[in-house]
Amino acid sequence: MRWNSFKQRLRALCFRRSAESDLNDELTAHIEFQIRKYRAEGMSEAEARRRARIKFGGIESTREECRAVDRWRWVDTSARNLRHCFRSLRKSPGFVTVSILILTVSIGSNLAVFTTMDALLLRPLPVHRPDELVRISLVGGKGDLLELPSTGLRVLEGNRALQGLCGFGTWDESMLGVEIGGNVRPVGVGGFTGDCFRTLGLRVQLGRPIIAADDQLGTQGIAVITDSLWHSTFGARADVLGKTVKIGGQIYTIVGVTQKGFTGLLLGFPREIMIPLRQAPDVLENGTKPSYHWVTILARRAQGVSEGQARASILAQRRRLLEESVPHRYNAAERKDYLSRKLAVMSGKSGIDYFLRNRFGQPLYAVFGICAALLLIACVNLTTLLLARSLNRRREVAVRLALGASRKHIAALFILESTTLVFAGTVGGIFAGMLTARMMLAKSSPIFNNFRLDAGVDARVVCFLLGVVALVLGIFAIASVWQAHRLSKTDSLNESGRGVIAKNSIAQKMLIGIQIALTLAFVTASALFGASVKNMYSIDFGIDTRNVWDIELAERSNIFAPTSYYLDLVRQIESLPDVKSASITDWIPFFTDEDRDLIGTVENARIGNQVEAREIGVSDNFFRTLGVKIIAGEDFRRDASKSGEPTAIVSESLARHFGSPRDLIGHHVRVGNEAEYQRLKVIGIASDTDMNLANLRDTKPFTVYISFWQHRGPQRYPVLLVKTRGDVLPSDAIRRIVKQKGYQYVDRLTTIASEIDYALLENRFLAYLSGLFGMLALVMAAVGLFGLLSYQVANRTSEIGIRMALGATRRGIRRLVLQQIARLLLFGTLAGVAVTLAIGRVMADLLYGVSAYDGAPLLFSIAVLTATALIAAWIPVQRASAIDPMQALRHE
Amino acid sequence: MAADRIDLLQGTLDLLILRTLQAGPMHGWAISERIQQISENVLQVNQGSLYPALHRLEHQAWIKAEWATSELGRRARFYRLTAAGRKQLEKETDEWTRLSAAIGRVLEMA
Repeated sequence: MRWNSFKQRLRALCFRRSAESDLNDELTAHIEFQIRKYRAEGMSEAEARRRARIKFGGIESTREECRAVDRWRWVDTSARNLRHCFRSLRKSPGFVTVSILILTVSIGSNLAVFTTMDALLLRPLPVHRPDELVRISLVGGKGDLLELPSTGLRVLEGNRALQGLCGFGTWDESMLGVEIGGNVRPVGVGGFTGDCFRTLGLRVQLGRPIIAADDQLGTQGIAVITDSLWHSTFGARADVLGKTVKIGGQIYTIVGVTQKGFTGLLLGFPREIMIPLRQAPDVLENGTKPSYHWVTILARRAQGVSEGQARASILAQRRRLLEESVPHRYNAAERKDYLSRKLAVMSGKSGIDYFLRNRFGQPLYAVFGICAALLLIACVNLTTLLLARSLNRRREVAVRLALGASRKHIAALFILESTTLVFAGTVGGIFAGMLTARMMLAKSSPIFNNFRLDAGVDARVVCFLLGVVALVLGIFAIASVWQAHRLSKTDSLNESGRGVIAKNSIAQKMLIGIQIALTLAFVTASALFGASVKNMYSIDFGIDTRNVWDIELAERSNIFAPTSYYLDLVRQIESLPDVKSASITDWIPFFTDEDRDLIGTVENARIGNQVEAREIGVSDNFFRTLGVKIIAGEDFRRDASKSGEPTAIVSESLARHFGSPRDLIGHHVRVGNEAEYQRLKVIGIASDTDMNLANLRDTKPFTVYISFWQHRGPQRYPVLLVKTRGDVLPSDAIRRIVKQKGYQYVDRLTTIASEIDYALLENRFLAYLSGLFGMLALVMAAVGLFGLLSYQVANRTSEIGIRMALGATRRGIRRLVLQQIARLLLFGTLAGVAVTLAIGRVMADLLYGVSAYDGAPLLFSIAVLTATALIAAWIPVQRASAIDPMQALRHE
Repeated sequence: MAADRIDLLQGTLDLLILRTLQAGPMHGWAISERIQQISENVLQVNQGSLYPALHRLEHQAWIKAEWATSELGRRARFYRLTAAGRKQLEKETDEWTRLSAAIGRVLEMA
């Protein structure tokens, strides 16, 4: 920076007035010299003055150009422009409020969805080089991922493509009751193999990590806690080291605190206490019994090994891995099934997840797309509003131009105004967006049982926000420049600019029409989704869900509980005063996947009478607990002796399939190929139940119930179903009973009603969001219409004035403007109906009991849209009919 | 008069101003008069471009402005050439000479 130039600029900045008057003096001096010259040539004073002025040309524009030369003056200029901008925005509070609101909502919704997406799908683990991690899992029957027994780690240890292995026991996303300083509270606990910290490059900020020597049987219990638990429970004090926590009756000494930001490896289910895997509470309890754990495996690729190479080398070990790790207690069939499983090797970059991404990945991307579309619509709308507004400022612009302002200057003013609006909208959007994202994730916590995911701000979110803002600003800047260009091209001082500006209203009308069409589709879709969810809730499931609870039990050890244990358990729970009835089943209504098998009658077995039915193991009182009627015959007996004849109960519709329901009683059926099920005596017919939302088309699925007491062996995990007298479950008492008996502990405890909520989650999510976006789209359409009509009314002021002067009534004028809307609405609605019918096919799969081809939702949406349009048109129509012909014509 | 006037080429005004100021400090009107005189009325300096050009040169630190009283007794803003301006003048003169010589050659020979 050259000194004198700097000095001058500084002076120009500090003493704006003196710099300005300097310039004036200089130019005046010039003219005076010229006058003197002309006088000397013999002209009269007046003539000399006149000629000098003419010779000089536009003083103001020269001055403006001199100012523009000084680039450093931008600070000064922008302060002045900013002042002007606020002044001019203050004059139209309605416009400002509406635009800021729209920007807030559209930027906020984009931010909220992206933040959720980031937290759920994109965010990498906060460990060293997370991209080097691969996740190894078993593949289940339906392509779902499963954990592996930790014994498999031994095989992988020899793999040269890997430089570290971490086995991580999630223990089913559940929280354990942890006693800290005398209080028991639920905390997520994870078991880690000794090599985990090294493999992940996970650092501790205090104390030491878990090391291989800790992960041995018979060692003293130790634990490493996360930064979050350290802060929330131990007040972030350094004396936390050496303190103890009690988990499942075992004592663990805290030896370390992990780095900030790490909350475990399991997405959405923080593990705040990390213990060595072999020190799991039940292992400690059972002493030195050899054991394995179901673990998720993360491995770090060796230097220079690609993900593909690592995968190939792991898959090559599949056979040995499975043979080494097959659980000892498996019977021959289970063994065979296990050995035929596939392995999956995938990126472990963003942590472990078993269902969240699967269920919500796609919907989130879809919603993100909708959000982006909404943002674009918002931009188009705001542009329309801005154009309408700048049209009203034709005179102001004309005066500025006449006074020597450059076109650039005008554009800069417009850009500044829109930037101010965008800035305000962004600030609002950040608040609204973060708040919504936090609320969305927090609200989903109870649904997912211990789910907790923080919507944090990271580099990706910031970049996304900057991108969105840049996009909006870009669109506005282009609109501003274009408008300034248009306005300055016309000689607006004498109000003749109409023709030029009116030209672009065709494009605007098109945009509004398209928007109306899209809005109609949005609104119809949300009406359909809403109705669909309502229909789903009003399905007659054939059961009474009131005050029914399901309690999942998990094994404490590898020892199977005998049937007598369950008999005792049910009896004890039934004896609790608040409990009306209790039963045991292997089927959680609305949660468990169906097991289907062929069922046929043994007597008069005709070929072809076999039919597929689902198979549910239930104890006595199952039907009573769920309010299902036994319409013929009787319930199962509470009898675990193997001597009695194996029995079954069939559903009414299934019984009808075989003929008359009553005739079936006493006859025998065979189910599937299991030897045990080849001759089951039908002792009762139960009324139809659904209890499954996976297939909504069939609400009375054929069902065969098999006695839990007679066939405990091959069934699924047992679940307690309890009906209470009031709406309170004596959960503490039940937990105590289960714990006392020693075999199991209560893992998960919910109501059947919340199982339905959970099963319908995606549908509710979709209905909720489409409703929200439908509303937003409506508001936007209203704003767009309002902008366009105001623009047109402003544009046609003098025309309307002439019409009125020639005798048009105010009613006639109103009709004139309303006709415009009617035409737009008609065009938009027709296109909208087409769009709706087109996407109806796609939506059909997601809908229940309604269709896009039903007239009612469509008519409803059209009515809503028309009403909205009329509301939006109200002000412009009033404005048009309030035009004073004298005023309008005087302008002309 | 109007017929023999030539519009100034882009960028040549700066050169003319710098050259004119070589004779000594001068105010804006004097600069334009002098260019007009010396060019025998062929080059007419438009005030609308003169003052922005002066300001521009000032910001480049090629000329320096100060208020002084003119020979006619009026206060005016006088511009004088700085050392950097002298160097710039040399450079631009050189470029101009080469350019005009080249154009001349092309016009003669081609």
